[in-house]
Amino acid sequence: MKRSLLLTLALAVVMGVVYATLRLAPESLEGALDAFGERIESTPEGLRGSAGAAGLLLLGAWMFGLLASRASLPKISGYLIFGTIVGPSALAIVTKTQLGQLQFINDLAISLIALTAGGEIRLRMVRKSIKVISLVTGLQVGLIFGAVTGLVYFGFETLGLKAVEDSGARLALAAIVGAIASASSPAAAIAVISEMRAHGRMAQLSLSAAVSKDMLVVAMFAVVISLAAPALSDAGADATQGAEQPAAQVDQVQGEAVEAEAPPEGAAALAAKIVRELGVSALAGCALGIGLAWLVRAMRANLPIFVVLVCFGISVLSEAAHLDALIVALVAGLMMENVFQTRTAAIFDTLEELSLPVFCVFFAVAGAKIDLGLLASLWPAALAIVGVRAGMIWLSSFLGTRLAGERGPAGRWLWTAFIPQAGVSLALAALVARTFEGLDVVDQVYSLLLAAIAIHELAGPVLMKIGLSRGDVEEASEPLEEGDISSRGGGH
Amino acid sequence: MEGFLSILLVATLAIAGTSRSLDRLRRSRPIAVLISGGWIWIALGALLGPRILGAISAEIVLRLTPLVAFALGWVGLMIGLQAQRSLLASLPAAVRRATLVDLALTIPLFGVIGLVGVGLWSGERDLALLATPMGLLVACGLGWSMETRSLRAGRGESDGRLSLVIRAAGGLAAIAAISIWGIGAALTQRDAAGALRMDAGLGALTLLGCVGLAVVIGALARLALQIAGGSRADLLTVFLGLVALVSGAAVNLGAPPIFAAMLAGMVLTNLPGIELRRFERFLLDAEHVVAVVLAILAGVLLDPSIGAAGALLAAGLGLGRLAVKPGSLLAAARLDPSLRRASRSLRLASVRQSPVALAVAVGFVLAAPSALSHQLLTVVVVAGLLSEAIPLAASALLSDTPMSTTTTPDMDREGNASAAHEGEAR
Repeated sequence: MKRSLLLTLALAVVMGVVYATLRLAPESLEGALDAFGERIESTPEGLRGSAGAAGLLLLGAWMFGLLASRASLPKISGYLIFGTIVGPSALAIVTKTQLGQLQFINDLAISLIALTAGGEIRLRMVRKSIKVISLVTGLQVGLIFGAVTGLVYFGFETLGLKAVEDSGARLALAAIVGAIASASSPAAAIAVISEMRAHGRMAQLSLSAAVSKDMLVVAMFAVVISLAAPALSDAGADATQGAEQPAAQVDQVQGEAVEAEAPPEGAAALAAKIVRELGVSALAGCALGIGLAWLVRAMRANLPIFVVLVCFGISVLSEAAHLDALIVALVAGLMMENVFQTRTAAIFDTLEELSLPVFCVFFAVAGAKIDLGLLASLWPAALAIVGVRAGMIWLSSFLGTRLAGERGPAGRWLWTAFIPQAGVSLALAALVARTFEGLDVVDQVYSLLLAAIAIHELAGPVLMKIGLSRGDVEEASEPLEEGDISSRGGGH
Repeated sequence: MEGFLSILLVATLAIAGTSRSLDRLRRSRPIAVLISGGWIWIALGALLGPRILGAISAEIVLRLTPLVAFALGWVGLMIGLQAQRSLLASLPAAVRRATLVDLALTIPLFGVIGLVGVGLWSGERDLALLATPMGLLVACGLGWSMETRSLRAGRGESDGRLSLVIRAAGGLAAIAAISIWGIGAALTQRDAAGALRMDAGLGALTLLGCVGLAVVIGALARLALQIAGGSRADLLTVFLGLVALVSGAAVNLGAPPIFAAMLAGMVLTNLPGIELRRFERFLLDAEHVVAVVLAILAGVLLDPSIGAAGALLAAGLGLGRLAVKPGSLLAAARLDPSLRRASRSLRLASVRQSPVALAVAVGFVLAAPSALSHQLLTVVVVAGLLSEAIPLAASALLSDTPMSTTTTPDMDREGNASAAHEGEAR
């Protein structure tokens, strides 16, 4: 109790410091002159305040996460809630422009989380469980996509969306919502698994399935959006821009929009392009994994900074080369863990240390981006999507595990691992909004997606923690097989 | 995207620059000086900067203000953590004498050089406009480089004692330099029209704000470190959060992040019941990488169009160092005669500019990016280069007879007390 009070007090102090210094901030230097009579250059809006915002989000989220864990909630829920509290839609200590300046943390976090996720996946276990992973992944994507698409298509106006006469356009929009609803959050999965130090079958299955599902959803989304573009152009969107760019922009799902290449014609050609890019990304990840295993001994003295550099490098260079940073980092992590385990143990130990501050800021920023006003106005429609999605997740996990003969507790609770949504879903939703900018109904769809994702962001980790605690507790009484448990200590 | 390619490039070079393979190169004295002084990294930054290759633009560096503010906060916190009461109390009288004499000689001389030099350069007569550049040059003039390995002619007792005095006094002077810069920056305010003016009232409030911030951060740190316990991940999070918070809050207040973070470090290190050893170890491990990053960024931000006036100002600052710095060590030698027997090249070590000068100058550019700030940074770099050349030349030209290799317990104790001020490359 005393510790909780102290933490609360410390939180208030942290928030107070940033709030007070922002209010006392001197006027902008724009227009001022120096001693040479030269103008002092102006800096982008939000830049100066973003340094304090980063400190607030990091330290504050860490403290709030500790408070959340004392209330038996997962720490990442604490990070998310803290971000929401200090974000633009609540106390507004952190503004939208400041959040924009902190985008680089997103890039760093995606790579770091994917490297960690790759390091958690044991190929030996995946080989043994390929049937259940494939079934669960395939069924989940199929069922969620189908059910949510159906819900949106047939319940368009009921969900509060502006009526669209053209059934093709309506179907296109419904399919986009269905595709995004299929995505989960490997980041949230990793965060909860790390916090709970879960090593058992459920942790392994959920991570492997979440990652495979992500890759499948990204590919599916590219196809859907390319097919949707012509249908939506008839509805009066900025068709020229939208139709030309969607496939190329999908490459940059995690980062900023880049200049688009000319898309290939036809869905088949598009699918081939995506497979090629994913394949090249995987190859790049292999090469990276080998390179890191070779370099790690030389970098011992500066390993934390080296790892941060690698994560940045993956993000930046993947964007430059039109690769998928998530795949590159994931495969690199897989390579290191499964081929060079002894050599690269220090990297994963460092990743584990670095993951805490990165998670704090990443999820706090995600929380700060939640629009509470939007959620308040759209919660019934969002809840409908959440309910259908959750139902399909449960059904697909139930069917997939049954068909694969997975009868243990992991199979019973696996579904909880796929509820959370975060970065990937938000990025896909933002891509839709950018691609079809100017079409009112797309803005509404975007808002609806944000509201649904917000609910998944907040409730998902709680459910997953419950599932892991029940799955793993029961799991512990079953005999463990060699190779199923990480050889590293701590959170791996 | 460009910004992060730049970060990647800079950080890669920093990592490579602090790797063990470069240690072999340091066996050559001129190379050791170039590397230890950061000059090679400044040159690399200039090469990559907008004037030559254009790989990293000044605008990108300015857009990275939060990260650079963090790096400056890191440096400030590290320096502040050395100001432990018990440590300061145990410093030999020679160290305190050297520091005080340095302050007494440098402040007026560099103040005049700065005021007259910048005044003639800009044609400006308004003291409010000239106060900040003058304060910057004074702060950059205080203290000296604490690296002595490249200048030691022998391993005698006197060289050892003088090295310790140089390191300890250099550390104290770094604290003084950042304090003067912080106070000067606080006293110089802008009115609603953006014009600079000296405002003691507002300046005092800003300083009070910095002190208050430091006290609050110190108290927060104590609580947070106790909660973090022995967990390295939690300690890292607390440390990064504190540095980001204090440097960010300082930027919000319009105060130099290096100053606010130094004050926070001073409060933190003097609070009872905090186990800071692991904290300090982490800071020191990353010290060289941060120093290299700042040196490269300084190179990128250089503006060589300082003209004859700027070059003369830099020369004046360099000569000013030659004129007054040896006096500080001479004053110390009056209290410890053994220092007089140290090698001549080492006795000129105090002429070399402190690495804190670069951090302060980079912070100045980020706080008020303009033609003046870029050019003043260039003046500071050129003055530093000149000041580096003198002891190096002396080391090459003067022959010093190695002294005996006996050591005394006193030297060992001083070594322990001043080890935290060590600025040598490992």
